[in-house]
Amino acid sequence: VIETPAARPATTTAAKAAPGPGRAPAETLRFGVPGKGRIGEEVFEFLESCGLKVRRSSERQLTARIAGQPRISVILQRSADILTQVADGQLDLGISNIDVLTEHAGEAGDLLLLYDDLGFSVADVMVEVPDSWVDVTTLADLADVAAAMRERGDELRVATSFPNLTRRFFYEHGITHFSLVQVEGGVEAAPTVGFADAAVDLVSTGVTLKENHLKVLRNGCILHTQACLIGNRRALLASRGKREIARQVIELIEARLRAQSYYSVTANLRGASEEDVARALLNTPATRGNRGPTVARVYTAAPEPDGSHWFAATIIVEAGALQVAVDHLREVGGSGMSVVPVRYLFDQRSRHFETMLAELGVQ
Amino acid sequence: VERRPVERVRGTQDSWSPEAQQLAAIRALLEETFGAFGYSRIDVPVLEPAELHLRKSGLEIIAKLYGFDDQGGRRLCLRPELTASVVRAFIGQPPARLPARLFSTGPVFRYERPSRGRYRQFTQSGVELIGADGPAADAEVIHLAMHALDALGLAEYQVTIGHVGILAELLTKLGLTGRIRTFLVESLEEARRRGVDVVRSRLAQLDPELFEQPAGHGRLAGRHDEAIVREAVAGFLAELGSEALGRRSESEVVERILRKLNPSSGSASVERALEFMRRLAAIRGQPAAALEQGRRLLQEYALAEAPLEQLARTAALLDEFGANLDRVQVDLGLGRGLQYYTGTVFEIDHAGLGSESQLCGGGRYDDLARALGARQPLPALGFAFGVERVRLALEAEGQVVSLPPPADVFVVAAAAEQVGYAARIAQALRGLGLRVHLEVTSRPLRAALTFAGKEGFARVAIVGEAEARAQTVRVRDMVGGEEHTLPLDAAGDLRKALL
Repeated sequence: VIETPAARPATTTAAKAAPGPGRAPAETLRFGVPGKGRIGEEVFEFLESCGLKVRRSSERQLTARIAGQPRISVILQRSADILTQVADGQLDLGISNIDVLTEHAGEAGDLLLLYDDLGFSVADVMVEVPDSWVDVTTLADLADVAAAMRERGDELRVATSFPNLTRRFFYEHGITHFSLVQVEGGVEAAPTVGFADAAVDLVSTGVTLKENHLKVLRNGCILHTQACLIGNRRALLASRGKREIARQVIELIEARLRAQSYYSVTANLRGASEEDVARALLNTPATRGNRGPTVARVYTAAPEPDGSHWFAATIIVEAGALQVAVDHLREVGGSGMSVVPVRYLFDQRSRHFETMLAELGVQ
Repeated sequence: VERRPVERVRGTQDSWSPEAQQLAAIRALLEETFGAFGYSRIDVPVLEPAELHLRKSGLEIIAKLYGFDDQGGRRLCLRPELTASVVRAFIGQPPARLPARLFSTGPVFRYERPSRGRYRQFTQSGVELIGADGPAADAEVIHLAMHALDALGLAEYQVTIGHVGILAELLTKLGLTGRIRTFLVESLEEARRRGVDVVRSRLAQLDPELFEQPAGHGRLAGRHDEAIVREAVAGFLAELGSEALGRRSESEVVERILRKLNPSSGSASVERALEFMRRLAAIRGQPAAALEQGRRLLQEYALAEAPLEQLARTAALLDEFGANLDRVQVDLGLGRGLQYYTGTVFEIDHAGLGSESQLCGGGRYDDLARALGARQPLPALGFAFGVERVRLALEAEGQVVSLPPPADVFVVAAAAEQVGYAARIAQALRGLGLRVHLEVTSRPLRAALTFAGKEGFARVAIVGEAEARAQTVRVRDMVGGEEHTLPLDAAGDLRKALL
């Protein structure tokens, strides 16, 4: 494991791909980023934290660059359009949402899901009914309401921007008679305004839900969703250059997301030798770190009277085990402990990149 | 310019000869058998209103429906099976006399997870006997299905017969409501295959409150409590304003609340039903033994034995009709997963097909016509074969129908000038009952002969200038290489020389 705390990782560049005089210009990877809509600023913050800072000349610009990545061309689109364009091959790579993917793509041939949990834009797709419907708390109740409406020659109208997801979910849960009112925005207002009886929409905080006097059904969660990274199978298969750029993007994301649950702890310890200090730390799982402590001699101004030396030991610990680690460091004589969040954590291999290669069937 | 190849839709298949020819031969043989039993052909559309299947087909079908809105905003589907379409056609134009015997063949569509023997488009061929009641009708339809397979030469198939009316009666007796009742009847097949616990947890997922109410808890004590509930709900709704309920009325909400507080179909009834399903699903075997076991179960639950008597009578008749009863077993857990079946149901399986072993499914659907808008109830039953699976079964038994090669003779002109004469030769040979491939490309004779050799033609008819002048044909044996020339008017010799 290469543990690089608090430092911007050096990105490896493929020497072969560098454009030189007399050569064809290296391939550019077209990367779709949702520039507006509900993902909004979250995606830029996320990419920046991954070392992929998106630079736009203006807010209205539809293309952008990534600092230090001259071979990535960023195209700013809506999440749903990114999905179709990655599936069609107009984009090579893109950030979209699991809900959009499930709604529109299903099993679209050329779409490759590279990362299904980017950890932002998190929400649930839920079935919502007016909170005045005190008798309706489950899908079974909603099925009864739909049946009652049908009895009197009417139909339960459901507003949604997820017609496929909704229809499949309702059918699977025995609600067979309903009509869908397809709306792109303001789904949750539909029941209040009166052009639908119920709604299926994204719920993240529940504030909009309350404002529109709606409630969710207890078994009405259709899907957990968040942002995801997708790629075009054909493009990535055809071009080694694009695969290499995709690798860098995937690795940075993976290292960043993995690092989020780790801290780097450095403590000063007194001991006879490096081995002596290391032995004390390796003694307990809490201070073993990911692989083992890094121990380095600290040269003090005056020698210790007992002939011992000072050492700085650094370990990487999981966030949940931080306090236990600090306690043990104290026990073995640690002092001056500094804790910094790990910014990136690269493993020997990138699991997500290898999965991608396996799916593409290339080495 | 888009140059990538256009791909086949996932879960569909192109079938080439000889498979395509085998499938056609199987369809023809099945239909011949249906005809021999007095059934006549009806063709129904591939496109149907989705409503046709939403009404009574059940979740098994509905969840897999290929549905879409057409340009006119109508909700349509590609038919997932043939029965509902045939019954719809029947209702629209009922024949003057009953029973009607109809058969139909064609593609059906289901949004399945594709695997071997399971496709999103496949071919069904089956019959509907509409307007006939009783065990004799049941027996004849099952006998027909078996006879059709016998006629195809299939040796190793197994018929399973059950009756969905048994469970339906128990559910009525337990006072279970429409939705739960429908769910349980549809789930009998799942209970048989995967156990009642799977059914219970699925029901709990649909209706989490069902198993939460301990018996008696929350029940209203009487009219007084009811009045309190009414008042409380009315007060709450008044606070929210008259618009809040949307298109639902206050009384509807209140009545549902009261019903939820006074569950007539509590978890105890459901548990009893599930226990019954578990025991029912365990009864299977030779007709006589299974029916005896069934009788004891029904007596224990004080249920009418009529369904079992029907099954016993059907089995006895099958024997008298000459069906081989060794192939037949009774399985009281057979449910078919379809909502419209009301009585006898049956399936035919073939062990050589692996996990997708079902060749044929059918049963009695006496309520379907009513659900689709008929004024009168209409006793009816039918079945359908999966034609592709029948072919796989025949293949597994090594019974694949042998087929002639695509053509008997290859006719080629030695030079471009003789193509007209070659065509006349080809036509003359066709008149003799031969199947003829006429060379129409401009490749050299040598290349054409190489092609014919590789394609497996044993004889080639070559015509050049000399043959055209003399009105003869030069016949070459592609194996030995010897040639001889025959006059065009010696039809008998020509035919012999070419075959």
